[in-house]
Amino acid sequence: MALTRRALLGGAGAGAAALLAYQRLPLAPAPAPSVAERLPGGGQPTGPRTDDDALHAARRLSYGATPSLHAEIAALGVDAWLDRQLDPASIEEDPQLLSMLDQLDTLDLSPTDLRELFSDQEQRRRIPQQLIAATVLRRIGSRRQLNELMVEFWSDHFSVFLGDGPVVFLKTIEDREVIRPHALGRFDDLLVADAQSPAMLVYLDNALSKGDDPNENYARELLELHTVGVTGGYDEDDIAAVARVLSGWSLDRATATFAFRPFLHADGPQEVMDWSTDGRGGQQDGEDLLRHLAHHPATATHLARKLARRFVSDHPSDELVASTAEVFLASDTAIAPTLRHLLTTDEFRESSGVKFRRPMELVTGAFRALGTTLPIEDLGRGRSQAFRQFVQRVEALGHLPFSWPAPNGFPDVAGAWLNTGALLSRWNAVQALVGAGRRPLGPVDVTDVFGDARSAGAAIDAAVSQLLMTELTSTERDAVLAYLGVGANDAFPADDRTARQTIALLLNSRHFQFR
Amino acid sequence: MATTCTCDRRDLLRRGLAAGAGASLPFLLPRVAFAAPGEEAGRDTLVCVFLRGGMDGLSAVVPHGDAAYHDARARTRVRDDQVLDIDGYFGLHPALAPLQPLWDDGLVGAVHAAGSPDPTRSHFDAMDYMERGTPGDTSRPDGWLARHLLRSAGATPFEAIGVARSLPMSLRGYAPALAIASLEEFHLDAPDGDLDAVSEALAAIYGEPDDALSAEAARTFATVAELAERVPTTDRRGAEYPRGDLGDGLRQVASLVHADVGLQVACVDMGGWDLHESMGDASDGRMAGLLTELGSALAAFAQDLGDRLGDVTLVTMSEFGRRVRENGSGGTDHGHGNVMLLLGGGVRGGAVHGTWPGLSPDALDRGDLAITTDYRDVLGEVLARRRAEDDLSEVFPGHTPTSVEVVSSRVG
Repeated sequence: MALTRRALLGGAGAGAAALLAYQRLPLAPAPAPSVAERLPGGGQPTGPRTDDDALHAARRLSYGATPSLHAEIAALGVDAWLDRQLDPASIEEDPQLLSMLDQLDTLDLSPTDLRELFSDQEQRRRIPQQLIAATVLRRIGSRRQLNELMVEFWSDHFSVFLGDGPVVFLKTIEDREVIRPHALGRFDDLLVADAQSPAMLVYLDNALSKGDDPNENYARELLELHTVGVTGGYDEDDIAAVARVLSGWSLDRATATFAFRPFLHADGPQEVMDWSTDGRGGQQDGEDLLRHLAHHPATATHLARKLARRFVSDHPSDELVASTAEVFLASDTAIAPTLRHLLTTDEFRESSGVKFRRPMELVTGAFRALGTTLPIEDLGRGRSQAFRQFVQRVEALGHLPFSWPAPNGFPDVAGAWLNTGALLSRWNAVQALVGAGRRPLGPVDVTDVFGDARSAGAAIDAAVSQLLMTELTSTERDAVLAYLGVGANDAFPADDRTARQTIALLLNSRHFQFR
Repeated sequence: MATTCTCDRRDLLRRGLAAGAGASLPFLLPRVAFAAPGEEAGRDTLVCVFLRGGMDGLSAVVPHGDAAYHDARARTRVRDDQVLDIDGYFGLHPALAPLQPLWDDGLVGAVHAAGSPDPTRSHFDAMDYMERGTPGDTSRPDGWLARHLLRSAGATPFEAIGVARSLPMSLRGYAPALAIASLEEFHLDAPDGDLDAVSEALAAIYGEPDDALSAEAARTFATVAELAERVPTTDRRGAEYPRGDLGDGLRQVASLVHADVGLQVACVDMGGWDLHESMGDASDGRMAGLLTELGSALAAFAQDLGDRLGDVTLVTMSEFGRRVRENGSGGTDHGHGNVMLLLGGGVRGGAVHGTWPGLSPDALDRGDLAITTDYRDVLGEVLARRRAEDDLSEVFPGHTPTSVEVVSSRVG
């Protein structure tokens, strides 16, 4: 029986009546400007274009192009370099990176040791600090750049939020045992591993789901975000069925590892889209469902579109998505051949200058361009001031790894990252990072950037070719000279502060905002 | 590039006309000639609070007179002895106690069983549809607030702002809309003695070509200058905002209202509502914590605004409500109908508006609270009566408006 009620109309009380007396005098509103006056020019932002395939690959398939990476790709040829990158085990890792990672002692802790550390209120912060530091160090310093890009891609695809209770230590396990081993492996293996990952089981609540009263959180996002996508052809009944099939996929809290709990599992026949089970398989039913979903054509299309958006453009063509999805299905969800196809198409080759860098890509690009890396002194003991400042900076940019508060991962189109506030935050991050702002982030050596140039013009040109690997327009070059207050042929005022600000201007220019 | 202006550099920068870049930035000119205080009167400032994650309206404005509510929410319900009764049937969650005085004064009201008619229970689709104002349809590239703003008065520097790191979908498509996470920190980070020179150089660097990036750069310089000059952000008029995005956001909106910079629309977010597990009960837990933050932030905003509350209408929305029956983990899954709260001098407060469909099994929509008031009717009424919008079919294409009677017409 439905109770219908409608509240009294005109119920504004005495308080509201009194307030009305304070309204200002009404005046006619100003005439509205036309639509054209209110739209910014040009639509999509545009960055530096290049016909040099090696330079395009260096920019798009790394965390920041450098002259040495460009030379490496040019020497090997783009295709051969790509093949090596798709087989990361064949690339010897940078020893300096490995020795820095060695200082981060929580990365390799067992699940039980991590859980114990997590229970220590004073020490627990070391776990997320070190995971974030390791992630940034690898992006900056790894020779396996494409592998790191795919680690990030899957970390976004299977996004978990570090701020959600025990996820803060479980994510270290997921990164190490799920995302990294499968980053260029097979998607069906990755999907099953992620469904059994304690971080995901906790973040999307499947660990709590009971067969007689399921929690639908993971089931919904599995279909919508991880596999077939929101247009993949499922309905609310399918979501409920997925939740029942995966009920009992839970967590052994003592060991912080996956555990199947038969007493929490719903037996009985279930149908999910074009898949069904008699419901007697227990845990195996769930694995079968996950593998079925991994191989579903809608999943192939969904993943192909996301990969194309990551590596080619914000709006990839339907043909590119379709051909990439075909390769994904034909190769049994293997990721490397799918990427090889995507990255050897004409559409990729012709896409230079169209991907706007996300904030962390700007930051890692700056470190790489300057030939330096994140300061992590004392991070092992959780006391690094420089690292704390770095985290605050990246938080202000809204792009701290593993900190997107929703399960859909950081957005990957320019429109989400280009606005008034974001642009200023980017400029300020670079000002701080280079040591040109009021609160410098830490010691960054800038002496190499200008080479042995004597004149201001030569110094600018040297810095541009190392940092931007392009040419400035005459307007831009004149703007930097005007800042220096000298002519191109005058001596470069090489004091430290001027040098740092010159670098910051170049890194804050349009050329550095794209990958 | 030569400039013919002899005024000093700092002055030029304030106008967004850095030496050497002036000719490239002509579109900045109208943006600095903004309305004198009062000129924008005739329209309320509209503040849209988006409660992201799916707020549980049944916990916020509790139908405690419905036995089905108590049956469905054995672990998470608000008991009759806890609820802040409104009318013997509905009551406020005790954590919303900070709103009680405003409710009693008729400055806060609610519309229950409201929402977007599209059946999706996906966060991302539901938010997207709601902010576009076109449920089930993503063919238009712009948001509902953008379409309204394109038709209303303009040319003030802080006409529309999303207090966020990214512009909310509802404002996308309206170029002057700003996304600013912190007004206090909205300045270029360079040493004082070098600030002008660095600003000039950057402005010149972004003087060309005429694309979205240059436009945002120009807008950034203009906004920095206006903020520094016009918007004091320190006086809170005794209001104590709770920590968090909502309190921070509303505090900054209040600063802009008091500064008379022509603010028309502001969007503020509060996240964390997706409580699939461990909602807690009425006295303790995550739901009580979120509602405490919500209630105290709105109350602080009202106090901060003081008599300016007569020029402001605030409305809350969320992508969907939660399922009526709690799940086995002490939480609730995604639902449908929800409550919208309104605050402001023009709100017909102190009452729960709308048509209550009830919670009996046959009244539910797939187990969820049915929707009897299209959220576009609530927003449309606010636009029409408080913001002089005279053609809602442009704002909500394809939707036929129905009056909800939750706000009164603005006088003048």
